[in-house]
Amino acid sequence: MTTIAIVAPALAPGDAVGNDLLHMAQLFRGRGHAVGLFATHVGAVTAPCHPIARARAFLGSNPSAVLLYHHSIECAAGIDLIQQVRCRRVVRYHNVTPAHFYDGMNEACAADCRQGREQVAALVQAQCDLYLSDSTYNQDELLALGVPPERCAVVPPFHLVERLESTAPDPAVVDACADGKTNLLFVGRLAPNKGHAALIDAFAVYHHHYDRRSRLLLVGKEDDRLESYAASLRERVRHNSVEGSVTFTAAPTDAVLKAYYASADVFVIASEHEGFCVPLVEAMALGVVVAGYGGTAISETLGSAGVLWDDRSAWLLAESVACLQREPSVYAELQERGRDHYREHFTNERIEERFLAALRGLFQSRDRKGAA
Amino acid sequence: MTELQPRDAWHDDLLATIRARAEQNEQRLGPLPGANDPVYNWPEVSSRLSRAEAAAVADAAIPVDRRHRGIRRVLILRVRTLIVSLLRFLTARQSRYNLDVLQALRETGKTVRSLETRLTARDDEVRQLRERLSHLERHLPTEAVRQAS
Repeated sequence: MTTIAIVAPALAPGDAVGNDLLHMAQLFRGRGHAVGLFATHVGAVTAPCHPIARARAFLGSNPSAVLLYHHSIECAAGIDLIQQVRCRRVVRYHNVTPAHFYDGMNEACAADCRQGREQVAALVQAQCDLYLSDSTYNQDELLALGVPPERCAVVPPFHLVERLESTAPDPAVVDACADGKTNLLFVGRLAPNKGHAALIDAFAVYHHHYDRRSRLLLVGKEDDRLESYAASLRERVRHNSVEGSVTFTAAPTDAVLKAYYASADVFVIASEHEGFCVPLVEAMALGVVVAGYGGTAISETLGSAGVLWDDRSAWLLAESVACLQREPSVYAELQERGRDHYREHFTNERIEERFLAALRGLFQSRDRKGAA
Repeated sequence: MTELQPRDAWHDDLLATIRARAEQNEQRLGPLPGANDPVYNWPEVSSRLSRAEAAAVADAAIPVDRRHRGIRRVLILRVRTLIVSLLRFLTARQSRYNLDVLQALRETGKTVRSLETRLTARDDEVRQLRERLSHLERHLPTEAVRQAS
Protein backbone atom coordinates (compact mmCIF):
# COMPACT_ATOMS: atom_id res chain seq x y z
CA MET A 1 0.00 0.00 0.00
CA THR A 2 1.31 3.40 -0.98
CA THR A 3 0.33 6.75 0.52
CA ILE A 4 -0.80 9.01 -2.33
CA ALA A 5 -1.68 12.68 -1.96
CA ILE A 6 -3.61 14.11 -4.90
CA VAL A 7 -3.37 17.89 -4.91
CA ALA A 8 -5.05 20.50 -7.14
CA PRO A 9 -5.73 24.23 -7.06
CA ALA A 10 -9.49 23.55 -7.03
CA LEU A 11 -11.88 20.65 -6.79
CA ALA A 12 -15.29 21.38 -8.26
CA PRO A 13 -18.09 19.15 -9.53
CA GLY A 14 -18.49 18.98 -13.29
CA ASP A 15 -15.04 20.41 -13.83
CA ALA A 16 -12.69 18.47 -16.13
CA VAL A 17 -9.78 18.66 -13.67
CA GLY A 18 -12.04 17.64 -10.79
CA ASN A 19 -13.39 14.63 -12.69
CA ASP A 20 -9.86 13.54 -13.60
CA LEU A 21 -8.68 13.89 -10.02
CA LEU A 22 -11.66 12.07 -8.49
CA HIS A 23 -11.34 9.15 -10.91
CA MET A 24 -7.65 8.81 -10.07
CA ALA A 25 -8.46 8.76 -6.36
CA GLN A 26 -11.10 6.09 -6.90
CA LEU A 27 -8.70 4.03 -9.02
CA PHE A 28 -5.90 4.17 -6.43
CA ARG A 29 -8.27 3.35 -3.57
CA GLY A 30 -9.58 0.39 -5.53
CA ARG A 31 -6.02 -0.89 -5.73
CA GLY A 32 -5.57 -0.65 -1.98
CA HIS A 33 -3.60 2.59 -1.69
CA ALA A 34 -4.18 5.24 0.99
CA VAL A 35 -5.36 8.33 -0.88
CA GLY A 36 -5.86 11.88 0.37
CA LEU A 37 -7.38 14.74 -1.65
CA PHE A 38 -6.14 18.29 -1.13
CA ALA A 39 -7.22 21.56 -2.77
CA THR A 40 -7.29 25.29 -2.11
CA HIS A 41 -10.83 25.83 -3.38
CA VAL A 42 -13.42 23.10 -2.87
CA GLY A 43 -16.87 23.09 -4.48
CA ALA A 44 -19.87 20.94 -3.60
CA VAL A 45 -18.20 17.54 -4.00
CA THR A 46 -19.04 14.53 -1.88
CA ALA A 47 -15.45 13.27 -1.60
CA PRO A 48 -13.61 14.49 1.52
CA CYS A 49 -11.04 17.10 0.55
CA HIS A 50 -8.60 18.94 2.80
CA PRO A 51 -6.60 22.18 2.58
CA ILE A 52 -3.26 21.79 0.76
CA ALA A 53 -1.42 22.78 3.94
CA ARG A 54 -2.31 19.36 5.39
CA ALA A 55 -0.85 17.34 2.51
CA ARG A 56 2.68 17.47 3.89
CA ALA A 57 1.64 15.86 7.16
CA PHE A 58 -0.35 13.26 5.23
CA LEU A 59 2.70 12.29 3.17
CA GLY A 60 4.95 12.31 6.25
CA SER A 61 8.63 11.58 5.73
CA ASN A 62 7.95 8.42 3.76
CA PRO A 63 10.12 8.54 0.59
CA SER A 64 7.95 5.92 -1.10
CA ALA A 65 4.80 8.05 -0.81
CA VAL A 66 3.54 9.77 -3.98
CA LEU A 67 2.50 13.37 -4.47
CA LEU A 68 0.35 13.78 -7.59
CA TYR A 69 -0.11 17.45 -8.32
CA HIS A 70 -2.62 18.69 -10.93
CA HIS A 71 -1.61 22.00 -12.49
CA SER A 72 -4.16 24.10 -14.36
CA ILE A 73 -3.95 27.58 -12.82
CA GLU A 74 -2.03 29.58 -10.22
CA CYS A 75 -1.45 27.54 -7.06
CA ALA A 76 1.36 28.82 -4.85
CA ALA A 77 0.59 26.27 -2.13
CA GLY A 78 0.88 23.39 -4.59
CA ILE A 79 4.19 24.65 -5.99
CA ASP A 80 5.61 25.11 -2.47
CA LEU A 81 4.54 21.59 -1.59
CA ILE A 82 6.13 20.02 -4.64
CA GLN A 83 9.38 21.87 -3.91
CA GLN A 84 9.44 20.79 -0.27
CA VAL A 85 8.44 17.13 -0.14
CA ARG A 86 10.96 14.32 -0.47
CA CYS A 87 8.66 11.63 -1.76
CA ARG A 88 7.94 10.64 -5.38
CA ARG A 89 6.42 13.53 -7.28
CA VAL A 90 4.15 13.39 -10.30
CA VAL A 91 2.88 16.45 -12.15
CA ARG A 92 -0.41 16.20 -14.01
CA TYR A 93 -0.35 19.01 -16.56
CA HIS A 94 -3.75 20.21 -17.83
CA ASN A 95 -2.30 23.36 -19.41
CA VAL A 96 -2.96 26.95 -18.29
CA THR A 97 -5.02 29.40 -20.34
CA PRO A 98 -2.72 32.17 -21.65
CA ALA A 99 -3.35 35.37 -19.68
CA HIS A 100 -3.85 37.57 -22.74
CA PHE A 101 -7.36 36.15 -23.21
CA TYR A 102 -8.39 37.82 -19.94
CA ASP A 103 -6.48 41.07 -20.37
CA GLY A 104 -8.87 43.99 -20.19
CA MET A 105 -11.68 41.66 -19.18
CA ASN A 106 -10.75 40.67 -15.65
CA GLU A 107 -7.38 41.48 -14.16
CA ALA A 108 -7.65 38.91 -11.35
CA CYS A 109 -8.26 36.09 -13.86
CA ALA A 110 -5.42 37.38 -16.04
CA ALA A 111 -3.07 37.45 -13.03
CA ASP A 112 -4.03 33.90 -12.03
CA CYS A 113 -3.29 32.65 -15.53
CA ARG A 114 -0.05 34.61 -15.81
CA GLN A 115 1.22 33.25 -12.49
CA GLY A 116 -0.02 29.77 -13.39
CA ARG A 117 2.06 29.87 -16.57
CA GLU A 118 5.12 31.10 -14.66
CA GLN A 119 4.66 28.24 -12.22
CA VAL A 120 4.98 25.70 -15.04
CA ALA A 121 8.64 26.69 -15.24
CA ALA A 122 8.97 26.13 -11.47
CA LEU A 123 7.41 22.68 -11.87
CA VAL A 124 9.94 21.83 -14.57
CA GLN A 125 12.83 23.08 -12.42
CA ALA A 126 11.63 20.87 -9.57
CA GLN A 127 12.67 17.84 -11.68
CA CYS A 128 9.77 15.68 -10.67
CA ASP A 129 9.75 11.95 -11.32
CA LEU A 130 6.99 12.01 -13.91
CA TYR A 131 5.07 14.57 -15.97
CA LEU A 132 1.67 13.38 -17.20
CA SER A 133 0.07 15.54 -19.87
CA ASP A 134 -3.52 15.44 -21.12
CA SER A 135 -2.34 15.72 -24.71
CA THR A 136 0.75 15.81 -26.89
CA TYR A 137 0.09 19.53 -27.23
CA ASN A 138 0.52 19.95 -23.46
CA GLN A 139 3.50 17.63 -23.37
CA ASP A 140 5.27 19.63 -26.10
CA GLU A 141 5.14 22.68 -23.84
CA LEU A 142 6.87 20.73 -21.06
CA LEU A 143 9.48 19.32 -23.44
CA ALA A 144 10.18 22.84 -24.73
CA LEU A 145 10.83 23.94 -21.14
CA GLY A 146 13.37 21.16 -20.68
CA VAL A 147 11.59 18.16 -19.17
CA PRO A 148 13.44 14.99 -20.30
CA PRO A 149 11.24 12.95 -22.70
CA GLU A 150 11.72 9.78 -20.62
CA ARG A 151 9.91 11.47 -17.74
CA CYS A 152 6.93 12.43 -19.90
CA ALA A 153 3.78 10.55 -20.80
CA VAL A 154 0.50 11.52 -22.45
CA VAL A 155 -2.60 10.31 -20.62
CA PRO A 156 -5.99 11.81 -21.56
CA PRO A 157 -8.08 13.02 -18.62
CA PHE A 158 -10.63 10.74 -16.98
CA HIS A 159 -14.19 11.88 -17.55
CA LEU A 160 -17.86 11.18 -16.83
CA VAL A 161 -18.90 10.21 -20.34
CA GLU A 162 -19.99 6.72 -19.29
CA ARG A 163 -22.22 8.24 -16.60
CA LEU A 164 -23.62 10.64 -19.19
CA GLU A 165 -24.30 7.77 -21.61
CA SER A 166 -26.42 5.98 -19.03
CA THR A 167 -28.34 9.13 -17.98
CA ALA A 168 -31.83 9.77 -19.34
CA PRO A 169 -32.10 13.18 -21.04
CA ASP A 170 -34.15 15.87 -19.30
CA PRO A 171 -37.55 15.79 -21.09
CA ALA A 172 -38.23 19.52 -20.62
CA VAL A 173 -35.00 20.46 -22.44
CA VAL A 174 -35.57 17.88 -25.19
CA ASP A 175 -39.08 19.25 -25.67
CA ALA A 176 -37.86 22.86 -25.75
CA CYS A 177 -35.37 22.01 -28.51
CA ALA A 178 -37.57 19.65 -30.52
CA ASP A 179 -39.35 22.14 -32.74
CA GLY A 180 -37.83 21.12 -36.05
CA LYS A 181 -35.02 23.67 -35.89
CA THR A 182 -31.41 22.65 -36.56
CA ASN A 183 -29.59 22.70 -33.21
CA LEU A 184 -25.93 23.68 -33.17
CA LEU A 185 -24.35 22.96 -29.80
CA PHE A 186 -21.24 24.13 -27.99
CA VAL A 187 -20.43 23.03 -24.44
CA GLY A 188 -17.88 24.98 -22.43
CA ARG A 189 -17.79 27.61 -19.71
CA LEU A 190 -18.29 31.22 -20.77
CA ALA A 191 -14.61 32.17 -20.93
CA PRO A 192 -12.81 34.31 -23.50
CA ASN A 193 -10.50 31.54 -24.78
CA LYS A 194 -13.51 29.47 -25.83
CA GLY A 195 -14.17 31.51 -28.96
CA HIS A 196 -17.88 32.14 -28.44
CA ALA A 197 -17.69 35.33 -30.52
CA ALA A 198 -16.34 33.44 -33.54
CA LEU A 199 -19.06 30.83 -33.08
CA ILE A 200 -21.77 33.49 -33.05
CA ASP A 201 -20.32 35.03 -36.24
CA ALA A 202 -20.23 31.65 -38.00
CA PHE A 203 -23.71 30.83 -36.77
CA ALA A 204 -25.01 34.14 -38.13
CA VAL A 205 -23.70 33.20 -41.59
CA TYR A 206 -25.29 29.77 -41.33
CA HIS A 207 -28.57 31.13 -39.99
CA HIS A 208 -29.01 33.93 -42.52
CA HIS A 209 -27.65 32.19 -45.61
CA TYR A 210 -28.26 28.47 -45.15
CA ASP A 211 -30.95 27.67 -42.62
CA ARG A 212 -33.29 30.23 -41.07
CA ARG A 213 -34.76 27.54 -38.85
CA SER A 214 -31.62 26.96 -36.82
CA ARG A 215 -30.38 27.88 -33.36
CA LEU A 216 -27.09 27.96 -31.50
CA LEU A 217 -27.06 26.45 -28.01
CA LEU A 218 -24.18 27.77 -25.90
CA VAL A 219 -24.13 25.55 -22.84
CA GLY A 220 -21.75 26.45 -20.04
CA LYS A 221 -21.34 28.09 -16.67
CA GLU A 222 -21.24 31.86 -16.50
CA ASP A 223 -18.55 33.32 -14.27
CA ASP A 224 -19.57 36.41 -12.26
CA ARG A 225 -16.07 37.80 -12.77
CA LEU A 226 -16.56 37.74 -16.55
CA GLU A 227 -19.80 39.69 -16.81
CA SER A 228 -18.33 42.05 -19.39
CA TYR A 229 -17.43 39.07 -21.59
CA ALA A 230 -20.96 37.68 -21.37
CA ALA A 231 -22.39 41.14 -22.11
CA SER A 232 -20.14 41.52 -25.16
CA LEU A 233 -21.35 38.18 -26.50
CA ARG A 234 -25.00 39.16 -26.09
CA GLU A 235 -24.23 42.42 -27.88
CA ARG A 236 -22.61 40.42 -30.69
CA VAL A 237 -25.74 38.31 -30.95
CA ARG A 238 -27.80 41.49 -31.37
CA HIS A 239 -25.31 42.94 -33.84
CA ASN A 240 -25.60 39.80 -35.99
CA SER A 241 -29.41 39.89 -35.79
CA VAL A 242 -29.65 36.37 -34.36
CA GLU A 243 -31.03 37.30 -30.93
CA GLY A 244 -34.01 34.97 -31.29
CA SER A 245 -31.82 32.05 -32.16
CA VAL A 246 -28.89 31.98 -29.74
CA THR A 247 -29.40 30.42 -26.32
CA PHE A 248 -27.02 30.92 -23.40
CA THR A 249 -27.71 28.31 -20.78
CA ALA A 250 -26.09 26.18 -18.11
CA ALA A 251 -26.33 22.42 -17.62
CA PRO A 252 -26.65 22.01 -13.86
CA THR A 253 -27.32 18.25 -14.09
CA ASP A 254 -26.20 15.31 -16.22
CA ALA A 255 -29.79 14.94 -17.46
CA VAL A 256 -29.85 18.49 -18.80
CA LEU A 257 -26.44 18.13 -20.44
CA LYS A 258 -27.47 14.81 -21.97
CA ALA A 259 -30.63 16.46 -23.31
CA TYR A 260 -28.60 19.13 -25.10
CA TYR A 261 -26.38 16.48 -26.68
CA ALA A 262 -29.45 14.43 -27.59
CA SER A 263 -31.01 17.49 -29.25
CA ALA A 264 -27.86 18.57 -31.08
CA ASP A 265 -27.51 18.14 -34.82
CA VAL A 266 -23.89 19.31 -34.92
CA PHE A 267 -21.36 20.13 -32.19
CA VAL A 268 -19.53 23.33 -33.13
CA ILE A 269 -16.27 24.56 -31.66
CA ALA A 270 -14.22 27.73 -32.13
CA SER A 271 -12.00 27.59 -29.02
CA GLU A 272 -8.68 29.35 -29.33
CA HIS A 273 -7.01 27.44 -26.52
CA GLU A 274 -7.71 23.92 -25.28
CA GLY A 275 -5.35 21.60 -23.44
CA PHE A 276 -7.56 18.62 -24.30
CA CYS A 277 -11.32 19.50 -24.56
CA VAL A 278 -13.46 16.86 -22.86
CA PRO A 279 -16.73 18.00 -24.60
CA LEU A 280 -15.26 16.70 -27.88
CA VAL A 281 -15.02 13.26 -26.29
CA GLU A 282 -18.60 13.59 -25.04
CA ALA A 283 -19.78 14.54 -28.53
CA MET A 284 -17.94 11.63 -30.16
CA ALA A 285 -19.25 9.14 -27.61
CA LEU A 286 -22.82 10.40 -27.93
CA GLY A 287 -22.77 10.41 -31.73
CA VAL A 288 -22.82 14.15 -32.40
CA VAL A 289 -20.52 15.12 -35.27
CA VAL A 290 -18.12 18.01 -34.66
CA ALA A 291 -17.36 20.96 -36.95
CA GLY A 292 -15.16 23.89 -36.04
CA TYR A 293 -11.75 25.45 -35.91
CA GLY A 294 -8.72 23.34 -35.05
CA GLY A 295 -5.54 24.40 -33.30
CA THR A 296 -4.03 23.78 -29.84
CA ALA A 297 -5.15 20.30 -28.66
CA ILE A 298 -8.47 20.25 -30.54
CA SER A 299 -7.20 18.61 -33.74
CA GLU A 300 -5.34 16.00 -31.72
CA THR A 301 -8.36 15.07 -29.58
CA LEU A 302 -10.78 14.88 -32.51
CA GLY A 303 -8.48 13.28 -35.08
CA SER A 304 -10.28 12.88 -38.42
CA ALA A 305 -13.66 12.27 -36.79
CA GLY A 306 -15.02 15.69 -37.70
CA VAL A 307 -14.54 18.76 -39.84
CA LEU A 308 -11.85 21.11 -38.50
CA TRP A 309 -10.28 24.17 -40.11
CA ASP A 310 -7.01 25.89 -39.37
CA ASP A 311 -8.24 29.14 -40.93
CA ARG A 312 -10.96 30.70 -38.83
CA SER A 313 -13.46 31.54 -41.57
CA ALA A 314 -17.15 31.84 -40.66
CA TRP A 315 -18.10 30.72 -44.18
CA LEU A 316 -16.04 27.53 -43.87
CA LEU A 317 -17.68 26.66 -40.58
CA ALA A 318 -21.17 27.51 -41.86
CA GLU A 319 -20.66 25.45 -45.03
CA SER A 320 -19.33 22.55 -42.92
CA VAL A 321 -22.51 22.51 -40.85
CA ALA A 322 -24.62 22.80 -44.01
CA CYS A 323 -22.74 19.89 -45.58
CA LEU A 324 -23.30 17.72 -42.51
CA GLN A 325 -27.01 18.56 -42.60
CA ARG A 326 -27.31 18.07 -46.36
CA GLU A 327 -25.40 14.82 -46.69
CA PRO A 328 -26.49 12.07 -44.28
CA SER A 329 -23.82 9.67 -45.59
CA VAL A 330 -21.04 12.13 -44.65
CA TYR A 331 -22.63 12.63 -41.23
CA ALA A 332 -22.92 8.87 -40.67
CA GLU A 333 -19.28 8.25 -41.69
CA LEU A 334 -17.97 10.95 -39.31
CA GLN A 335 -20.29 9.76 -36.55
CA GLU A 336 -18.90 6.25 -36.88
CA ARG A 337 -15.33 7.56 -36.92
CA GLY A 338 -16.07 9.53 -33.75
CA ARG A 339 -17.43 6.50 -31.94
CA ASP A 340 -14.45 4.38 -33.08
CA HIS A 341 -12.00 7.09 -32.03
CA TYR A 342 -13.64 7.31 -28.62
CA ARG A 343 -13.66 3.54 -28.10
CA GLU A 344 -10.06 3.22 -29.26
CA HIS A 345 -8.54 6.04 -27.22
CA PHE A 346 -10.82 7.72 -24.74
CA THR A 347 -12.95 5.29 -22.75
CA ASN A 348 -12.03 5.44 -19.06
CA GLU A 349 -10.87 1.83 -19.37
CA ARG A 350 -8.36 2.80 -22.08
CA ILE A 351 -7.24 5.82 -20.10
CA GLU A 352 -6.76 3.67 -17.00
CA GLU A 353 -4.49 1.34 -18.99
CA ARG A 354 -2.38 4.27 -20.15
CA PHE A 355 -2.34 5.88 -16.72
CA LEU A 356 -1.22 2.72 -14.94
CA ALA A 357 1.35 1.98 -17.65
CA ALA A 358 2.80 5.48 -17.20
CA LEU A 359 2.98 5.03 -13.42
CA ARG A 360 4.39 1.49 -13.61
CA GLY A 361 7.98 2.72 -13.94
CA LEU A 362 7.53 4.99 -10.95
CA PHE A 363 6.21 2.23 -8.69
CA GLN A 364 8.81 -0.28 -9.92
CA SER A 365 11.70 2.11 -9.22
CA ARG A 366 10.23 2.72 -5.76
CA ASP A 367 10.09 -1.02 -5.12
CA ARG A 368 13.71 -1.37 -6.21
CA LYS A 369 14.67 1.51 -3.94
CA GLY A 370 12.71 -0.05 -1.09
CA ALA A 371 14.41 -3.42 -1.64
CA ALA A 372 17.81 -1.77 -1.72
CA MET B 1 -1.85 7.24 -29.39
CA THR B 2 -3.83 10.46 -29.55
CA GLU B 3 -1.28 12.26 -31.69
CA LEU B 4 -2.52 14.01 -34.79
CA GLN B 5 -3.20 11.29 -37.33
CA PRO B 6 -2.56 11.60 -41.06
CA ARG B 7 -5.76 12.44 -42.89
CA ASP B 8 -7.15 10.01 -45.42
CA ALA B 9 -8.17 10.73 -49.00
CA TRP B 10 -11.90 10.67 -48.19
CA HIS B 11 -11.44 13.29 -45.48
CA ASP B 12 -9.22 15.43 -47.70
CA ASP B 13 -11.82 15.32 -50.48
CA LEU B 14 -14.55 16.29 -48.02
CA LEU B 15 -12.59 19.31 -46.81
CA ALA B 16 -11.76 20.36 -50.38
CA THR B 17 -15.42 20.14 -51.40
CA ILE B 18 -16.56 22.16 -48.39
CA ARG B 19 -13.89 24.78 -48.99
CA ALA B 20 -14.85 25.17 -52.65
CA ARG B 21 -18.56 25.55 -51.79
CA ALA B 22 -17.82 27.99 -48.98
CA GLU B 23 -15.72 30.21 -51.26
CA GLN B 24 -18.37 30.08 -53.95
CA ASN B 25 -21.16 30.95 -51.52
CA GLU B 26 -19.18 33.74 -49.90
CA GLN B 27 -18.65 35.37 -53.29
CA ARG B 28 -22.22 34.79 -54.41
CA LEU B 29 -24.10 35.71 -51.24
CA GLY B 30 -21.82 38.38 -49.79
CA PRO B 31 -22.31 40.05 -46.41
CA LEU B 32 -25.06 39.18 -43.97
CA PRO B 33 -28.55 40.45 -44.74
CA GLY B 34 -30.68 42.09 -42.06
CA ALA B 35 -32.81 39.69 -40.05
CA ASN B 36 -36.41 39.75 -38.98
CA ASP B 37 -36.33 36.77 -36.65
CA PRO B 38 -38.81 36.58 -33.81
CA VAL B 39 -36.96 37.47 -30.61
CA TYR B 40 -38.82 34.91 -28.54
CA ASN B 41 -36.29 32.24 -27.57
CA TRP B 42 -38.08 29.38 -25.84
CA PRO B 43 -35.07 27.22 -24.82
CA GLU B 44 -33.48 30.25 -23.15
CA VAL B 45 -36.76 31.25 -21.46
CA SER B 46 -37.27 27.66 -20.29
CA SER B 47 -33.70 27.45 -18.99
CA ARG B 48 -34.09 30.72 -17.05
CA LEU B 49 -37.38 29.60 -15.55
CA SER B 50 -35.73 26.37 -14.38
CA ARG B 51 -32.94 28.36 -12.74
CA ALA B 52 -35.48 30.65 -11.10
CA GLU B 53 -37.48 27.66 -9.85
CA ALA B 54 -34.38 26.23 -8.23
CA ALA B 55 -34.01 29.45 -6.23
CA ALA B 56 -37.73 30.06 -5.57
CA VAL B 57 -37.91 28.22 -2.24
CA ALA B 58 -35.59 28.81 0.74
CA ASP B 59 -32.82 26.27 0.29
CA ALA B 60 -32.29 23.50 2.82
CA ALA B 61 -28.72 22.87 1.70
CA ILE B 62 -26.78 24.98 4.16
CA PRO B 63 -23.29 23.47 3.92
CA VAL B 64 -21.56 22.02 6.96
CA ASP B 65 -17.78 22.10 6.92
CA ARG B 66 -16.25 18.62 6.85
CA ARG B 67 -13.78 19.65 9.53
CA HIS B 68 -16.56 19.56 12.11
CA ARG B 69 -16.87 16.10 13.64
CA GLY B 70 -18.64 14.34 16.54
CA ILE B 71 -20.82 16.31 18.96
CA ARG B 72 -19.92 19.58 17.31
CA ARG B 73 -21.20 18.32 13.96
CA VAL B 74 -24.43 17.01 15.51
CA LEU B 75 -25.02 20.40 17.18
CA ILE B 76 -24.36 22.27 13.94
CA LEU B 77 -26.74 19.98 12.06
CA ARG B 78 -29.50 20.59 14.63
CA VAL B 79 -29.01 24.35 14.51
CA ARG B 80 -29.05 24.13 10.73
CA THR B 81 -32.33 22.23 10.75
CA LEU B 82 -33.81 24.85 13.08
CA ILE B 83 -32.67 27.73 10.87
CA VAL B 84 -34.02 26.05 7.75
CA SER B 85 -37.40 25.36 9.38
CA LEU B 86 -37.63 28.96 10.58
CA LEU B 87 -36.57 30.27 7.20
CA ARG B 88 -39.17 28.16 5.42
CA PHE B 89 -41.89 29.25 7.84
CA LEU B 90 -41.06 32.94 7.44
CA THR B 91 -40.78 32.76 3.65
CA ALA B 92 -43.66 30.34 2.99
CA ARG B 93 -45.95 32.94 1.44
CA GLN B 94 -43.11 34.44 -0.58
CA SER B 95 -42.14 30.97 -1.86
CA ARG B 96 -45.77 30.24 -2.82
CA TYR B 97 -45.90 33.55 -4.66
CA ASN B 98 -42.58 32.85 -6.43
CA LEU B 99 -43.71 29.42 -7.56
CA ASP B 100 -47.13 30.66 -8.72
CA VAL B 101 -45.58 33.47 -10.74
CA LEU B 102 -43.08 31.09 -12.30
CA GLN B 103 -45.82 28.61 -13.12
CA ALA B 104 -47.86 31.37 -14.74
CA LEU B 105 -44.82 32.49 -16.74
CA ARG B 106 -44.16 28.94 -17.87
CA GLU B 107 -47.76 28.52 -19.01
CA THR B 108 -47.63 31.87 -20.81
CA GLY B 109 -44.35 30.88 -22.39
CA LYS B 110 -45.78 27.61 -23.64
CA THR B 111 -48.78 29.41 -25.10
CA VAL B 112 -46.59 31.96 -26.87
CA ARG B 113 -44.47 29.10 -28.20
CA SER B 114 -47.53 27.29 -29.45
CA LEU B 115 -48.79 30.47 -31.15
CA GLU B 116 -45.37 30.99 -32.71
CA THR B 117 -45.33 27.43 -34.04
CA ARG B 118 -48.82 27.84 -35.51
CA LEU B 119 -47.83 31.19 -37.02
CA THR B 120 -44.76 29.60 -38.64
CA ALA B 121 -46.94 26.80 -40.02
CA ARG B 122 -49.44 29.35 -41.42
CA ASP B 123 -46.56 31.34 -42.96
CA ASP B 124 -45.36 28.15 -44.65
CA GLU B 125 -48.89 27.44 -45.93
CA VAL B 126 -49.24 30.99 -47.27
CA ARG B 127 -45.84 30.72 -48.97
CA GLN B 128 -46.78 27.39 -50.57
CA LEU B 129 -50.15 28.76 -51.73
CA ARG B 130 -48.41 31.78 -53.27
CA GLU B 131 -45.98 29.48 -55.08
CA ARG B 132 -48.86 27.36 -56.41
CA LEU B 133 -50.77 30.45 -57.48
CA SER B 134 -47.83 31.88 -59.40
CA HIS B 135 -47.25 28.45 -60.96
CA LEU B 136 -50.86 28.33 -62.08
CA GLU B 137 -50.67 31.87 -63.42
CA ARG B 138 -47.64 30.90 -65.48
CA HIS B 139 -48.93 27.57 -66.83
CA LEU B 140 -52.72 27.64 -66.86
CA PRO B 141 -53.28 29.99 -69.86
CA THR B 142 -50.89 28.00 -72.09
CA GLU B 143 -52.56 24.69 -71.18
CA ALA B 144 -56.02 26.18 -71.62
CA VAL B 145 -55.02 27.45 -75.06
CA ARG B 146 -53.54 24.06 -75.96
CA GLN B 147 -56.70 22.23 -74.85
CA ALA B 148 -58.89 24.66 -76.70
CA SER B 149 -56.91 24.16 -79.88
